[in-house]
Amino acid sequence: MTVDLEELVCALNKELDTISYVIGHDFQQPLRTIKNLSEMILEKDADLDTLRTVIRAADWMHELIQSLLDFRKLSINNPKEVNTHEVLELVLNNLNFKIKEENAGIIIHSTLPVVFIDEFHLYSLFQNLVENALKYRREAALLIEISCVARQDDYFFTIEDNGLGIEKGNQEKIFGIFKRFCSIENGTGIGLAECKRIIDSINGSIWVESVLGVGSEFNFTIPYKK
Amino acid sequence: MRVLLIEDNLSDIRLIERGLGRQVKLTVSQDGKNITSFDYDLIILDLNLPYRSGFEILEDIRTVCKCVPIVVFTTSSNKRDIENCCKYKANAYLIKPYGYAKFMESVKYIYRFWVKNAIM
Repeated sequence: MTVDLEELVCALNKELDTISYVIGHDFQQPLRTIKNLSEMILEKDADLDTLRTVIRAADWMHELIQSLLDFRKLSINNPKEVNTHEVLELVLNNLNFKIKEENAGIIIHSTLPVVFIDEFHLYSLFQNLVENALKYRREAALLIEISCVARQDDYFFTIEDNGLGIEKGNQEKIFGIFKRFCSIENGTGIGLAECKRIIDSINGSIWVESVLGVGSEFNFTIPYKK
Repeated sequence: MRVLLIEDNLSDIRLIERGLGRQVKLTVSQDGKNITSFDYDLIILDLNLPYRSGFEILEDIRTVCKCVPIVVFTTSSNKRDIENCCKYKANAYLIKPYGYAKFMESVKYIYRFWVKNAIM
């Protein structure tokens, strides 16, 4: 990268930080006002159902803004040796309530390796993929299987579920920001874009193989440390 | 008990007023300008204010008054903001939570820790 280009990237990053800061503060303030005062009114008169809809809309906007800020946070990258098994355990602990609620079976098929990546990035990656599997499920008992194979140049991870599956035409598009192709569950449309950004930043690959009504297999690779 | 609240958001002012209750004589400044004295038992300070930032106001207060307790009550969880408030010797830094119940809980905490303890 030439010096000019580096300076430009630095300037753009600073600008993005400023925008994030403004979104984090100035955009949240009116939302907080809507939420707080609506809940205060609801405390006096619990029958105001329309107000609950207002609160839900505010909550939804709040979540979208938070996700957008988290997406921005991914630009911080401090790779180190990270034990995948430990990170996955943390994620599963965090999702424990949802896993129990969905009565989902989780199988880890192989010993998971130590990889070279930013720990928060790896956490976000597993969190998004496992959470999606829990969200987009069918009526049938949900099973999520996680495995990893060491290949010549990288580790090849798979997270497989027997959930709703994704139409062939949408399988590439789902990694774009704010892309949602299912109305069953609330989703911000940022999670998979986060995953793609993380994997792109380490020169790995991420893709999905899926059959609608049968399930999905999310695959990603993490290259070895050079 | 006299409390100075420097806060520009009307809904937050209303909730803080409600949370602190009638025992507190609350003076509100929405921009931090025209404050002639910092002779209060407690100052609650927002950071994101029109005209001047909360940091500038914090610095001003500490220049003339080292001992009045200052609780920064803000939406910012930014590390630099927290460090700046420590630098200018704020006594506490509380992040305004999202949602009425949690917000009121924080105000009650300010009341219990900084007002009630001072009265007792």
